Amino acid sequence: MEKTCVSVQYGQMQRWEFVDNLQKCEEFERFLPALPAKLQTQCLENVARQRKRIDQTEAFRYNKQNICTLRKTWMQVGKENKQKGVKNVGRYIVKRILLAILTVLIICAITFFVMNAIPGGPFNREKALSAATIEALNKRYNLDKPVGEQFILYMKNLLHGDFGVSLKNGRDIKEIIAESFPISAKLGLMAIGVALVCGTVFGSLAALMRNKWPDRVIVFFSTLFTAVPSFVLATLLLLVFCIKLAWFPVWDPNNPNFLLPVLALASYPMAYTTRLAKSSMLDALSQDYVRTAKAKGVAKWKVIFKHALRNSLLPIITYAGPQIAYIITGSMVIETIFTVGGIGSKFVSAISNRDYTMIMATTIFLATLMVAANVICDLLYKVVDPRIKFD
Amino acid sequence: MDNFDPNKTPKKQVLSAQIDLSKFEKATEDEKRQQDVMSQSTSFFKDGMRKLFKNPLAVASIIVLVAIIITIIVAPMIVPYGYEEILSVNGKRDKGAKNLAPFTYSKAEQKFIDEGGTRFPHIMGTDEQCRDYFIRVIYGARISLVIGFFASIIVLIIGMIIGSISGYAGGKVDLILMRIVDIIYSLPDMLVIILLATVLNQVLVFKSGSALAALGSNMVSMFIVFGLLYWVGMARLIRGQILSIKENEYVLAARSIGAKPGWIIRKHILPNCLSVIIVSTALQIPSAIFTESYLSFIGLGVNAPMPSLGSLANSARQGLQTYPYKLIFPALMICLIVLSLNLLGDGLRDAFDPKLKR
Repeated sequence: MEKTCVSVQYGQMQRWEFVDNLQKCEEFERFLPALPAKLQTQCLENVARQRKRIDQTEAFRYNKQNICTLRKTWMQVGKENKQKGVKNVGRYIVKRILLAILTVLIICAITFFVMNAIPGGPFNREKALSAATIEALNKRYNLDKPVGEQFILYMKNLLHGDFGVSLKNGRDIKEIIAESFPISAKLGLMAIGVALVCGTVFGSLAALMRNKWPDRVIVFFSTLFTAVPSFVLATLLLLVFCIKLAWFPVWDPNNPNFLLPVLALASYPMAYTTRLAKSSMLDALSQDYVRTAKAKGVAKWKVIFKHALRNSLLPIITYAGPQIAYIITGSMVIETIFTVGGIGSKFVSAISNRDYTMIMATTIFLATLMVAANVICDLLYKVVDPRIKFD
Repeated sequence: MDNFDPNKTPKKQVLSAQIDLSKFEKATEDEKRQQDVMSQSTSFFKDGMRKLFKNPLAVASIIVLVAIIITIIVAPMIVPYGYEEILSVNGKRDKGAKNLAPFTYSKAEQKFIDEGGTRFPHIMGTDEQCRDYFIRVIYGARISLVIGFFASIIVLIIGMIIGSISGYAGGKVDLILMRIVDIIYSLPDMLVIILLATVLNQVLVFKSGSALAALGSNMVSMFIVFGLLYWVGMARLIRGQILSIKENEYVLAARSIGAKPGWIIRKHILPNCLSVIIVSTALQIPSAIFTESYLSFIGLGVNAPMPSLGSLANSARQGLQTYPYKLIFPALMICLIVLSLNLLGDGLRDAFDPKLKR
């Protein structure tokens, strides 16, 4: 056992006491009252310090003895953790969905109160209406009530799927959304599909042919297209292919040609996915399991598709959420440029027309869509990669 | 060791490994010089800069950026037109100078030149309101760069303060701040920006003549929006850095001698996450420029008649068929600026952040 020493000072003289266990320390304490009062506190401090050290060494020894028994229960703990993990998945999903609902509520609140902060009522027109008419209109749209009550009423209506009426043309916003959203959804889904598939293919190709000419070409174009704003690309495509070369009609609602809008919309996410796919493919190719597979003599294509590609897809899924958000906002300009009658172009025209109810409804609708897409991507990612821990 | 004297060589013991100095001779000056460290000692910043200047893409983008910045500063001094000035010849409004092609003159101007006057060429032609297009593009690039730069500075400052408080304090403060960050992070930023920009344009009214009025309500609202929304990414990044740096021994040492938290953050922690800060700020600038041009394009950008690259590209759509160059010039400018800033950011990342791989 470790010997520790305690120093005691008697006046001018210093004496060293060797204390080899806790009991002796206590004995020491017993003759303490005999000491001059001045020195008692100092001695006590010393003893306390020693005792702490002894306690620590004891604890350490105790742990060392128990490590062996701990190892035996290791397997059992693992099993318990697995069961806990299943429980945690459920908890994580619930937590994520609750956060999403909170986000949507916050968006609704921000949208409503911010829109209310705009000076002037919705009925301030160039041609002044009579006071009685305004009062009647205010009553009709519940604008005479306090703001808080208006918000609750608005939320109630939203839950019933009632987005209100457009200020510009008096149409039901629900109808406008119902007729314009399918076009936007088709455009957006096609764009995200093209971006993810082509991006992954190009990126993997660049990684597999590293430092050869296909790699150089792909890297050049992916760097270039991350710097071209989508509206510039869309306008250029429109100019070259629709107007100068006349290969495509501008936009015909009866016979829509999605090629150019999809290309313009997908360019940035595609370039981004390509860069991401390249780096994650390079990472996957340098892993041990790929080397093992090669060493076993597995066919080259099988190594690439079965081992490397599968694992390189994970980061791409993580970034699919933000890319969906990008596609939704990007579609606003693209639809405006190509005069596609989707929800994005309706939103932009609502902004320029100052159609506040329409802006409010579309913002809430699109935001809910984005939040939902993000939740799905997050959950998908956790399902695809079993190594992720749930917290 | 009661009679120990550090200045005296102690008496040699029999079995001691003590060196007998009489068996050695002193090194000559020449030999001493051989032992000198030949390479100069370098600081973190110098080393990063050296690596940066070895990267050809980064150097090229620096050259392009410097060229653009010099043009932006110098061009308004040389070109005799203002960005909102309607062209006039001899004090008379020149109605023929509408939608001129690059390097051409209107009839009135041609007559003026034939009579012996000198006229500065319209390098990029004129727009539909008889204004010189070159100077408008230059001012547009100016606005875009200023917005990109200041927006990322605002983001940096707010993100740095909140991130370092959250990372260093930990506990409840961290928890609350991170919940706020989570919520702002999950908001669809572009939609909120559009919403806020729409509203702030209506709400913000400045006294004419004040500095804010000169900027215009749209620009101020853009800064507010950036400051409100974009700091969360930076705050998260810095918090993560601080959490790992906080565990280092030198921080413990500083704390044990009683250094105050603010001092430790400033002197020990922030310099160590400098590389991450530099890189993400550099990459923030092009994204802010992108956002600004996007907002200008849908009509929420800087107030007219102030030009911005996005609004120039937007207004060029009207006469696209006949005057395609009006789209090409601002579009080329945006692409050039964003591309070179992106490449510079990548170069900075490679040079300053060895841990981060491509």
